[in-house]
Amino acid sequence: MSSILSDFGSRRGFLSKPIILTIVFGFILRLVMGTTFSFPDDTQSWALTIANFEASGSLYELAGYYYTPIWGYILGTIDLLGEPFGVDVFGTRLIELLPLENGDSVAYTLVPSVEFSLMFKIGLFICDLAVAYLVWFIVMDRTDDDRKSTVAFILSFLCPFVITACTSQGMFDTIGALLTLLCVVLMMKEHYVLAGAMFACATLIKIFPGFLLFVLVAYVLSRHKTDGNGMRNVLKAICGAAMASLIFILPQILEGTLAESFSFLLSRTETMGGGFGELLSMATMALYAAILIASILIGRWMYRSEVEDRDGLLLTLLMVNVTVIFLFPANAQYLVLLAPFLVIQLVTVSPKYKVPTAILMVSTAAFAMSSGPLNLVAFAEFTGLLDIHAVVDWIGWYIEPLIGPVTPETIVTCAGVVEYLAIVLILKTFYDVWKETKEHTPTINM
Amino acid sequence: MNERPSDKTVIVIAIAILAVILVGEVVVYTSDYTDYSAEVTRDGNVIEYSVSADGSKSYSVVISDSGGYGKVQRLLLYYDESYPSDYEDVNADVGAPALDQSYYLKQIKALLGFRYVTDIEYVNAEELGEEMQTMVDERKSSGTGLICISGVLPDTIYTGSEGDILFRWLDDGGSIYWAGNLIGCEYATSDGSIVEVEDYQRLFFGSDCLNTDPEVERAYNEYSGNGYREALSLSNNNVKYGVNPSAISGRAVLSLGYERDGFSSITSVQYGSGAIFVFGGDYSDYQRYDMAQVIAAGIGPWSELKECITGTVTRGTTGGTVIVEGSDLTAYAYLGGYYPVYGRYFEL
Repeated sequence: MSSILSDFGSRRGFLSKPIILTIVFGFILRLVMGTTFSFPDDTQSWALTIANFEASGSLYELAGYYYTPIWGYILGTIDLLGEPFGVDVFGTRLIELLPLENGDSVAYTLVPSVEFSLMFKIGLFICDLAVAYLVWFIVMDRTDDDRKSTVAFILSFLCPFVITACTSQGMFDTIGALLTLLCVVLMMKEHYVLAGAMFACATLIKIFPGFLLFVLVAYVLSRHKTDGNGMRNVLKAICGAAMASLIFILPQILEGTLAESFSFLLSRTETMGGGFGELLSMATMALYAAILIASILIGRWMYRSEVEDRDGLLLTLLMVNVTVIFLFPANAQYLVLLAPFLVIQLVTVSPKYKVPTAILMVSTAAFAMSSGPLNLVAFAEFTGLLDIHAVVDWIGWYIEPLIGPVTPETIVTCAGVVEYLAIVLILKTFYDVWKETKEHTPTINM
Repeated sequence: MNERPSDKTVIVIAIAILAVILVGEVVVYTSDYTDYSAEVTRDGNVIEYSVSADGSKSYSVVISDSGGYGKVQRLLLYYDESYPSDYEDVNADVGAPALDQSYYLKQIKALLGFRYVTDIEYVNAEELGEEMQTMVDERKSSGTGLICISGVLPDTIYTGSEGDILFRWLDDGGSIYWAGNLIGCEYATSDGSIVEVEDYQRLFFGSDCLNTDPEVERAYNEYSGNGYREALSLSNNNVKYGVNPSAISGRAVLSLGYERDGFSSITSVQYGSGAIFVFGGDYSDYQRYDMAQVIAAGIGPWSELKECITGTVTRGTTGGTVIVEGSDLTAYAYLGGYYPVYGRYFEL
């Protein structure tokens, strides 16, 4: 316990003045943005999920929740903690938005209440803080440099698209990032059972960390090449992963809803109807297969490399692997998993990552806000501080063609293209840094 | 040199998040509608209500005069894979199972369960015909409802003739809840064919009143004239296949929900002592939520909204009294608004 306190309490430890100011500013910013902006679709899904298990005692009996159970469980805890605060209205059907419903372009008219949104978003803010702390921890552990670790914390906690993901988007990717980072740190510190449990939870909450399996296993095996404990430690991690998985999916096994709990993941690779749909499905499968192969090759790289700084190599290859994963798909909130690994590379390996990081941060945040004024309807409806009819007018203008078929929404959505270019630029920067260091994988720049 | 950060902090964070997940798992699988309760009683014109909740929930107590319409106590779900069906495929959310007839019925059964409508059974075409015949013979159709979303009625109950057992059952007090197509426009036979019916609208409603224009689909206004849309938190605003209540004469009609070009998203029309309920639009989650709510609330063609009391209950019991006049008063208490977690019907 004393060591924990020393992290937080020492004069030159975690709670330095810049970090405290960053935490305060970051929380205020999140509270303001989380109150003002809410994309109705996903947030109302979480409201429905909570109502469904409150009614049925199951995550999957009533339609509405299609993810693996971990996020549903976290919603359970958030619901429990939120009840004393009297969050009684989850949302309402907004008649004013009905005229904007138009065929495939559906305005989301079941709008979650601001207090409900904040109830679960505050949980996400705390996760953001924990992620930023782990980034600080890794940088401090590796560089022993106050300045670098503080910069890493600030970049991580104030990363624009990390903020939009947990505020306007109301998405839980920060929990996946937290679990993944915990797994990495615990592996580096040789707590393999707990690391395995974290890995299982990370993969169960979002599939993407699952692709990191190869590089993580390769890390453990290569680290223990000399003492011969590699396989033993991998088995320890497998035990942790198996225990966590069993505990968390046991209810679905018992009630026979295991297939439903994986339906979102499986639906991504299902065959779609029609010629174009089939082509798209095949392309999706091919891309996932390519990412899988790339992940295996990165694992092979990890295993075969003979470097002293194996932790540094792991962090670099994790950044590369996560970037490769998001070559497809690259939804704004997914990149929350990339942010900590990218920040670590920028601060500890090469300043060359500055440009792609800056472009990624701005473009992804803009892409995340591409729903425009639709993000304001909950604020207008539930606070009365904006006229809901004015917001409806803004939405109408936002989705109306401006020049030819191009709408303001189309223009903002183009930020997604810039975001994608930034992802490619990150890989290019990695290649440049790698070549520069005479093809020895860059790990740390002291 | 700084002191290197201790990995104990990381271990504590890891254990804390495991605890959060585990606590949530317990919360999810130990919660259900029995965490809530409601009671509504009547003493003369004084209605007394109370609502209880473990957590914090909005509640509504909807008091109606049913006009003598008896709420369905027993529900039959028609489903027969050996008979053809005729409804439009709809897009499901990413990850959601295909919203077909089987899944829809399974879901409606679950939605009714936490509203204390539990006497529900599946019937195939043959069983349905036999059930209806028995109920008509014994004059016991009242209080029984049929949910039919196949888009086409089986020939065991309907062949496009006024003398069909379906109409005798409705006349005797049965209620049919219909969605997914134009009611009665065709019937299905056991050999797998579908037969179109002429003048089907007059058979069911006595006049042409259905929305046959597929372009007239989304309604942008709530149905005025009664407060049921808001009182019951009704969501479906699709009027495809819906009924225009003003085109019906000589029968009790109640429209609730949303309206466009005179067509309503939900309409209940009297047929003898029974009722025909038409829910507009192709299959949707909203349509299903509304169907469950209307069935559980015991709303019928003669229903009139008398009072809707709303409020919040937080970890305990709240309640009050209200003066309401009427002869056939009923109450439907539900918690959660547009995200209902509990519903219960009371005859007062």
